[in-house]
Amino acid sequence: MTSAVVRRAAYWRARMGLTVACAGELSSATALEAFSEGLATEDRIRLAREHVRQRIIDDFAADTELLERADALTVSTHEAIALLETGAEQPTVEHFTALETIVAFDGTRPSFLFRDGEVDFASSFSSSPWKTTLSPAKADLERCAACVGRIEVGGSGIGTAFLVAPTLALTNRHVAQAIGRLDGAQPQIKAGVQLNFGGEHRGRARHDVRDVTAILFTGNAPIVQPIDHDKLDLALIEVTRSALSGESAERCLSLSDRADDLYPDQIVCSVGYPADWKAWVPAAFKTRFHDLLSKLLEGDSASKRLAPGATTGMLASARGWTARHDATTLNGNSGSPLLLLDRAGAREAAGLHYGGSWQGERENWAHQLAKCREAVVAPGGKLLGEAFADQGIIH
Amino acid sequence: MPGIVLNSQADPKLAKLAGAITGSWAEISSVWDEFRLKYGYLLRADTDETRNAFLRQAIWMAYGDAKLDALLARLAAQNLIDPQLPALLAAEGATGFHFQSYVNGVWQSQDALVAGRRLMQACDHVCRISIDGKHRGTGILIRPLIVATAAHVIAPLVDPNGRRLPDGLGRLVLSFVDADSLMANGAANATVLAELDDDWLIDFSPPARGESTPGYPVDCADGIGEQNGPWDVALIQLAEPPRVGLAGVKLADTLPNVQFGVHVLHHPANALGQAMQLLWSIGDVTKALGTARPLRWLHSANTDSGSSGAPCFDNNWQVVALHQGGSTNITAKNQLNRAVPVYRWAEQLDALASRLGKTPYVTFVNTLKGERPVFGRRDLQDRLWQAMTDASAEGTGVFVVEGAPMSGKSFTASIVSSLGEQAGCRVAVVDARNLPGDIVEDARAIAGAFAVSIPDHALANGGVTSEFRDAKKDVAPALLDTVMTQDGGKSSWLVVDGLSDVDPGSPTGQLIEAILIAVRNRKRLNLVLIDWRGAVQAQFIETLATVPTTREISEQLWLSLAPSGAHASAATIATVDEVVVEALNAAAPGNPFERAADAARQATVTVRAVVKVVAKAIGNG
Repeated sequence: MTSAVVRRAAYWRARMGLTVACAGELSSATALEAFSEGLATEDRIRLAREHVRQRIIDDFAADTELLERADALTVSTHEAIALLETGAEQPTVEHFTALETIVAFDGTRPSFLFRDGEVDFASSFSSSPWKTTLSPAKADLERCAACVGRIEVGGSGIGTAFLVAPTLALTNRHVAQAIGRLDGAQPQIKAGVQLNFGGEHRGRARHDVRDVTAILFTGNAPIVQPIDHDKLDLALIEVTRSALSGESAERCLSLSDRADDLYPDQIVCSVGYPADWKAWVPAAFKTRFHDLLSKLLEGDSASKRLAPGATTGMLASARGWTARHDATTLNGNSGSPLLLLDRAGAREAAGLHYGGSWQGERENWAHQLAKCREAVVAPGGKLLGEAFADQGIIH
Repeated sequence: MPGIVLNSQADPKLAKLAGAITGSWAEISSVWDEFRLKYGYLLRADTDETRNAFLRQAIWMAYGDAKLDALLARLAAQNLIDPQLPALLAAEGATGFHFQSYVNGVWQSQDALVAGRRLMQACDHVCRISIDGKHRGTGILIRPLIVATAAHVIAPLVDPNGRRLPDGLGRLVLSFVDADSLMANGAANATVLAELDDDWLIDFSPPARGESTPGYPVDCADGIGEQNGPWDVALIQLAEPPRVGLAGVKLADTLPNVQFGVHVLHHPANALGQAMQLLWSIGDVTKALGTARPLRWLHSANTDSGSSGAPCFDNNWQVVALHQGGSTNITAKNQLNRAVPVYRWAEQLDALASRLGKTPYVTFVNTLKGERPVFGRRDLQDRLWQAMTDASAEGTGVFVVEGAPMSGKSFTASIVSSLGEQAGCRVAVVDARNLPGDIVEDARAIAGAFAVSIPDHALANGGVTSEFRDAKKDVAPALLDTVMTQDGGKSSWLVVDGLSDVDPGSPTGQLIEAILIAVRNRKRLNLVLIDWRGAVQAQFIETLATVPTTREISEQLWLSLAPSGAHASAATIATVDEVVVEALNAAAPGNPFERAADAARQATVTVRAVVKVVAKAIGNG
C-alpha cells in the first residue's frame, strides 16, 4: 500500500468525520465535531444524494440511467466509509471518486456562481452554515470579487487575475507563461490578451473588459511540472484603464501584510474561474461517477465562482510561503486571490492561489503574499516588496 | 406592475411606455443587455429596428415573462424613465406605475435614535456559550447575575435529574462583547468572560421529550403541557455582573399576538463550528403552537446551529422568547424556526431569583424585645439553605447549635423558619422545656407543631408505653411517618429548643434520641437541635461565641443595607470595618451583644452611604 494511498485514506477519514479503530488504536474524527449540531456523515450522504437526484430530475428529465448512477453513488460511498472505518482494506479509485462526488454535493465545500456581480447562494449546494457564515460578509466579498477577472485569449479563459491597482493585476507566472514570452530581456505579451471581469454563468458574460498591455515582472524562475513550491509563481500585469466611472474604475484589492503563519481552520474564500474540470482529471481517475459529475456540473465551467473553505496549515518547504486550503478550486483558478474571512472590515488578498492536487486529498496551495516580499523577481532582480513599491502597490 | 394590462403589441399603453423611456441609446441598450442576458432573451439592442420599435418589442417580451416591473425598475434606477409615466398611464385607466416603498404592516416605525440605542444595549447583554472550548449556543443576561439560555445548550453539564454535574464549573464559559470596544473596522478588541457562581445552575427545564429530534416536526407541540411545559430554558448564575453597567435586559410582560416582528441577536457557528460574531436577524413570528396560550412560536428570522438560546426581542427591545431551533431540511422552502416564549418562566423569575445559590441571609429576627440583629451565623445559614434548596440532597440534615446564654442561640428557630419559608419548606418549632415529658404525648405535641396528628393505630400497644425500645421502634417512626405523609412533598424541619434543660435519659430525651435514629432512613426530614447534650451524628455543629466580631457586624450591616446580590469587594468591607470599629469604640460598656447592636445602629447611616455608592457602580442602584 503506497504512502499516497494511506495519506489519501487518512484525509478522507478526516473529511468525513470518521473514527476508526486501527491496530488497537483509535484515530480521532475531526471536522464535523466542531459543533454538536453539525451534519453527521449519514446526513451528508443523504443530502448529497437528494441534491444529485433533484438536479437530475430538474435538469435531465429524471434520466433513468443517471438516477441509477446516483443510487450507485450512495452504495459506493457507504462502502468507502465502511472500508475507511475498519481500515482493513483501502478504498478503490471509484470509492474515492464517490466520496469526491458526495463532497461536491453535500454542501460542505460549495462553489457559488456570480450573477451581475452578486454571489448567488442558490447556485451551489451548500450547508446552511455557509450561508450564515458568508452572509455578513457578502457585500465585502462582492466588492473583492469585482476586482477579479478572467484572463482570456480569443475569448477562451487561461486563468484568473485580480486588480491590485486600477491598471495593475496579479496572477501566476505560469499563467503569464501562457500569454507571453518571458525568456527575453523584457517580458513580451502576446496580442489579443484581455482581462474580462464578467464571465458569469447566466449573468454578465463580459464586463469591464481590459486589454492586457504588458507583463511587468514575474517570479525569476520558470514554472514547470512537477511543481516546485519554492519557486515564486507570481506575475504582475498591466491592463488598460476601466471604461466604468467613479469608484468602480479605481477599484482594486489591497494586499495583506499579515506575515504570521496561517494556522489551520481559518475560513478562506477563493474567487476565480475554475475551468472545465473534466479536462484536468487524469484518465486513471475517470470513473462512472466522473461522468455523473460532469453531466451535473456541465454548462457552468470557467464561470466566475466564489469558493469558501478552510486553511489546512502551511506547507513545509524551504521558503515556507505556501498556505494550504481546501476550498473548491480547479485549474483556471490559478491567479485567484485568497481572502481571509475572519478579518473584520475590508478584506485583503492574503494569498495568491497557484495550484492544487485535484483528486484524493483536495489540497490547494497559495502563496501567502506577506511572506514573499524577499523573493527575487525578473526582470531587474529586485525583491518583490521593492518591485511592488515601485509600482505604488502597498505591501 | 399593478393595474397594467397590455392586450397586444399594438396596445397604446405599450407605446406610451416605450415613449416614456428616455435617455441615451447607449444607456438604454446597456441596461437591456444586462437584463436580457440575465433572463435569456434573444432580442439584442443592436438591431436595425427603430428605437421605439425595439423598445416596444423589449417591453412586450418582458411583460410576457412577468418581468416588466424588473425592467422598468432597472431603467428607473438609471434615471431613464419619464417621471410623468404614472400620470400618463392613469389617463389610460391603469393604476400605473408607482414608485412606492414596500409597506410591511408587521413592523411599526420606530424612533431611530431610541431604537438604535436599545439595540446597542441589547447587544451588550448577549453572550456566547461554550463547553470544553466548543461553541454551543447563545445566552442573554436578564438580571445582573442571571443568564438565560436554552436548556439543551448546556445539557452536557446537567444530569438526567436536571442537576449540574460537579465538574461543570471549569467547562462552561460565557463570554460577552463590549460594544464600545468595537473598532472602526468592525473588529472587537475585547471580550469579557463572565465569572460563574460555584452553584451556577439556578433552574433547568429541558426540552420536551423528542423535541428537536429528526422525527419531531418543527410545528409540533407534543409533550408540552400548558402548565408544566417543559420550557427548554436554563438559568445560569454569575458570581458578579459581567461588567459595570449591565443590569439585564427586560423581559416582555405582555404577550404579543401573532403575527409580530422579532429581532434575534445570536452567535451562530460558522461552517467550521467556530462561534461567529454577534449577528442580528429579523423576521416575523407567524404561528403560535398551543391552544390557550402559546407554548412555542414559529418565526422566520435567519438562524443556524449555535443560535440556540438567543434572545428574540420585540420592537421595544424586550425579550419575548428564546430561540430554540429550526428545520433540519435546509433545502425546503419557506422554513420556519422555533422559539420558546419567556412568559411562562419569566413569571416565576423573581421567586427563582430569591432562591439563588446565594443564601438569603437572615439579618434581623423579631423577638419579644423587638427586632434584633443577627451577627455571624453565615456558615449555619449557608448549610441550612443548601439543605433546604438542594433537591438532590440524600439523607437527612441534622444540625446542632450550642452556645452560652446571650450568644444568640435563641434566634436559631427564627432563622430556620425564615429560610424555610423562602425555600418552601415546612418548619415546626418546639421548646423541649414545654413538652409534657411523656414519650407519646411529646410525640403528639411535636406532630401538633406540624399541624398533623398521629393516628392512634400508628402507635403500638394502643399508645401506652414509655419504654425506650418502644419509642425507638414505634413512637418515633409513627411520628415521622405521619409528618412525612402529610408534607405535600415539601421537606420538613423540626427545631427543638431548650434541650439544655433536658436530660437525655428522660422521656423527652429518649424520644429525641429515637427521632435521631428514625430520621436516618427518612428523606425530607431534618432536625435542628439547640443545646442537645446527647450523642449525635450531626451534619453540622455550630458553637456560638458570645462576642460578635467586627467583621460579623460589618457583614450584617452590608447584608441588611445592600441590594440583594450586591457584591462587596474586600476594600469595601474594610471600609465598613473601620466605621464599625469607630462605632464600637463609642458604644457604652456592657453586654457584648448589646454593644454590637448599638454600634450597628450608629454605623447604619454611614454604611448606607457606602452601599449607595457601590451599588450605583455595579448597576444595582
